[in-house]
Amino acid sequence: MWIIVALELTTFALAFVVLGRLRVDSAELFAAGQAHLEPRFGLLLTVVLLLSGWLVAEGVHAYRHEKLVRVRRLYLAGVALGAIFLGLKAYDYAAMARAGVGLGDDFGAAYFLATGFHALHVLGGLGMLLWVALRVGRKPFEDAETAVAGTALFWHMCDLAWLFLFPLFYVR
Amino acid sequence: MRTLSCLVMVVLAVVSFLEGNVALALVFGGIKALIVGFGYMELRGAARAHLLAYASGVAALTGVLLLVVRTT
Repeated sequence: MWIIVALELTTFALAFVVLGRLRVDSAELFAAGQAHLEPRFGLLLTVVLLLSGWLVAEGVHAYRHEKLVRVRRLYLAGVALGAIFLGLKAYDYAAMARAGVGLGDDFGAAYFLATGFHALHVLGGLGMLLWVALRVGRKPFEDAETAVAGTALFWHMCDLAWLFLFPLFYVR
Repeated sequence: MRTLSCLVMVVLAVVSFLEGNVALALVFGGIKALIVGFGYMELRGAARAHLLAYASGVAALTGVLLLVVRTT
């Protein structure tokens, strides 16, 4: 799982550098696009994802102490917050689309592609967390360490990517 | 420790929002990435080489992003 996480983070890192350049090279265009984004909304998304990551980290800790029911509860709570994150993101996309920001302009393309790529990872992570939550303590895993801790690792990678997307898009 | 880490990261996110300074927010992003790596991704107890590779990767990314956003 670490190899996958490292490759994904490298891809995200390259995208962040491109976004940073766009922010500087097309400063006016970027600022005009950012005006459609609500920084408070970005903060809310960040807090939701941070809390979800914390719950999943607590879940791994519970797994290390063989408290499997607690693992299930914590992972399900993490999934709930992850789902809220995606719901808020969908609302954000709809608001941006209503404001006329789309893939046709540079800012919209950068915003939808970068955050959409991240949202796809969140969706994948949610699926994995849910699978682990529904199975842990009920059915044995082929490789429990990879299933429980590896899935958490992937989820934290989603956290990490957002920690840089938040300042690049929402902070102004 | 994990709860404290989460609280610190939330506070850093709130300060980033309040300050509205992208360079500061990126530095805080790097700090949060280190907290997530060491605390949540369990790198604190990992081999020193892995820990150093992760920390230097985060530092390099944060440094490059700072250079990029400060270029005029």
